[in-house]
Amino acid sequence: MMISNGIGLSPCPRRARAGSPALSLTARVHALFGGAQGGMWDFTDPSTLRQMSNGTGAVADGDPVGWAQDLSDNGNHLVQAVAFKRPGFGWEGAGFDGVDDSFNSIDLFDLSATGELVVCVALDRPSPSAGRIIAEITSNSSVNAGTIALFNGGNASIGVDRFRSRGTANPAPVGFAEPGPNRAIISCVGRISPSMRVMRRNGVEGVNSTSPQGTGTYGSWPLYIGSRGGDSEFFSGRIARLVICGRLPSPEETALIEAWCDEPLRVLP
Amino acid sequence: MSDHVIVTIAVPAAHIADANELARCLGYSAADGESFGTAAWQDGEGHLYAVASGPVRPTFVSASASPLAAPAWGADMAAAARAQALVAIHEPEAGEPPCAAPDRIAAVAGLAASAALAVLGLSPVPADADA
Repeated sequence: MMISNGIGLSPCPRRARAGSPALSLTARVHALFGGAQGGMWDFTDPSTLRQMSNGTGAVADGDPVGWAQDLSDNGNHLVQAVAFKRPGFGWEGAGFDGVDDSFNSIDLFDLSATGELVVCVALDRPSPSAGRIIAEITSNSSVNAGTIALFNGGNASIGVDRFRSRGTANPAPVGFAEPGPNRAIISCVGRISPSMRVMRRNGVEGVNSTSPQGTGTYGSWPLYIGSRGGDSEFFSGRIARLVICGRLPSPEETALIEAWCDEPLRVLP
Repeated sequence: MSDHVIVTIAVPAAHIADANELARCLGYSAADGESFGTAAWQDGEGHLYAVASGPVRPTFVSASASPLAAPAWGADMAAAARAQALVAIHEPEAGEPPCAAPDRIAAVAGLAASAALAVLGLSPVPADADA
């Protein structure tokens, strides 16, 4: 595949059928998009990463990561233009230092055609309470309608993984009742109307809420990974893989996405 | 294996603008002029600092103490020079580490960010809001 900055990168297989067991997990998750907006990123594969935000400079262990390829073919590559704010590459994912590291989408992350999505992340953190924002669509999902956030804690819930999905209304984020393990596969399914928020951690459902989220779609906002708006609430730890797909998955498809995210860490039972 | 070294820098709140001009001079692009953001860290006496931490090329440390050259994308060289005059860099084998202080831009090279922050004597300013 030739991307816009002229760099040839590993091709993503197209038109694969998600149900085919002969296909790799990557191909099967890729096939789930099927025209849906979103993105999938593998921070453990240096062939999909570059040091500089213009997509140049091969990445080796310990190098800064300034560009990450969207493997979904939606073109939602992630960047970090400021050198100090680039996470460091490791074989278990991009390392966020909890000080200033984060990624953001190059362009607006456009989910305006849908009010349904699934988010799944594989992470490894030094403690259950390390860091805050894992992924957030918009610079502040507390105030902007049509957004989501996957985050950790808050003063009232230190170490607890939480998920916000909202339309015009902003119900309290759902979350687990107890701090999470350091290594976790966290998946969240959201639908604005009729409202649904399902959150799973390491394959176990922790919350299933129908509290009203108002109306509308998820909108078109910047996507931030590891921070709120690029300048606060920084995540500390490694993110191995991440999927955000703008469609409602079946339980089997959610499990498939979790399995892909889990490949580098192997924490699922 | 990477040839980068992790450097963590604490800039007193009053010197953030100057330090960002220095970052423009030493960095890779104009975007590096946004290296130091909110002063979200504090020392034991409550003085506030902006902190940047990340892997940089080893030449960054020597360049930070060398005569400055104006970058192609431009910078306020007077501000950059003011910041450079405040820089104190600690490398692991170089003796007593410089703790953060309001009258210096203290930097620690060769340690992970969490360890460097301990050396600098900084802790996060407590957040008061749920995300």
